[in-house]
Amino acid sequence: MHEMSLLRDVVALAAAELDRAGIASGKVTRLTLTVGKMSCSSPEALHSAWELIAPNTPFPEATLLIHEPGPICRCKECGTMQEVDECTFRCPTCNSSKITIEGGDTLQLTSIDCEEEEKRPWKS
Amino acid sequence: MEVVISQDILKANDTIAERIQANFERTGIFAVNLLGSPGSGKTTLLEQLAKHLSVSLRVAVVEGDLATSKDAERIEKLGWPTVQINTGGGCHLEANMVEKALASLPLNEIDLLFIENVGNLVCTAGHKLGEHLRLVILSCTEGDDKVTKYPPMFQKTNAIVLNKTDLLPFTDFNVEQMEHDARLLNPDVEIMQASSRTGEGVETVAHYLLRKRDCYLAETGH
Repeated sequence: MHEMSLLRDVVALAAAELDRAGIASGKVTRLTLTVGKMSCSSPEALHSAWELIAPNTPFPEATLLIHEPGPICRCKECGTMQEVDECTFRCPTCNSSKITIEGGDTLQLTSIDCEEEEKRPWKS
Repeated sequence: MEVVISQDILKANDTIAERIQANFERTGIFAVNLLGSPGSGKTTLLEQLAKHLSVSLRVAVVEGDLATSKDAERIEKLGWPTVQINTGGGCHLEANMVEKALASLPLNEIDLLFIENVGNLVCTAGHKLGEHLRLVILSCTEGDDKVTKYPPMFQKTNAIVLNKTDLLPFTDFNVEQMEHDARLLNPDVEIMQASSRTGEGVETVAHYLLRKRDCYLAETGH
C-alpha cells in the first residue's frame, strides 16, 4: 500500500507545476495520471486513497483520471508487436513463448484540467 | 483548460537517488540494492558473503525493515558498519530514507554498500535508491511461479540468486521454468544458485559482485 505516498508526490508535483504556470490550484477539476500495468501501483487503491486525502489537498474538487497502459509484447516467431493487457508469457497472436516484454511501467502525472480563469497578475 | 505536465510521479525520489549515486561515485562506493520476499534469505546471504568479501573489501549495510533492529544486530556481528531504517508501516525504502541513513556511515571508508530493502516483491521494484546493481533473492520454497506473478521485480533486476538450494529436492521448484520466465522478462539477467544455509554457491555470488564492482570502478575512473 504505497498509493498514499504516490499521491503525496502527485500533489506536490501538480502544485509546483501550477505555481510555475501561475494557475490557482482551487480551479483544478481533474488530475490525469498514467499508471502502467507494470508500475506496481493499483488504480483502485489510488482512487480510494484520493477520496480520503483530496479534501486536505490544494485540489479538493479534482477528480482522478487514470490511464493504464500495458506492456508491449514483441514476438520473435510471428513478428507482431502489440500492447498486452497484463504481463504475458505467450504471444497473444501465435501463442509462441519466444517473446520479449517491455515497458508498461510508466508512472506519470500526465495533465491537469482547470477551469478557465485569468492568470494571476505577475508579481516582480 | 488542460495543462500538459508529463512528469514522472517519482521524480522527487529519482532526483534524490541520482544525488546519492553521484555521492557514491565521488567516494568509489559500489552500492547493491538487495531485494526479495520476507524470509527469502537476504540477511543470511549477507552473513555468508562476509566470508568472501571481508577479505578484500570494506563493506557496510543499510538495513530496511518495518520494525526492530534484529537484522542490523546480526550484520553488526560481522564487523560491518550498519544502519537500520525502520519504515514504520512503509512497504519499501525510498531514496530520502537512504540518504538520511547514509549520514551515519563512514562513506570515505566503504568499498561496497548493501542496501537490504524491506522484504517485498512488489513496490520495492519501483523505487531507485542510488544503487548500481539490483540483486533479487528468490528462495526455492517460494515457488517457481514468483517470476510470472511479480514480473516488475524480475524485469528490473540485474541478477537473481535462487537461494535455499539445499531444499530443492524437497520442493517441486522447476529451475528451468523459472530461468526461462526470468530471461523472457529480462534477457540479460544473471541467474545464480546458492544455499545461505550450507554456503554452497555463495562464492559464485561473491565473485559476481566483485566482477561488477571492478567494471563500475573502471567506468567511473577509480
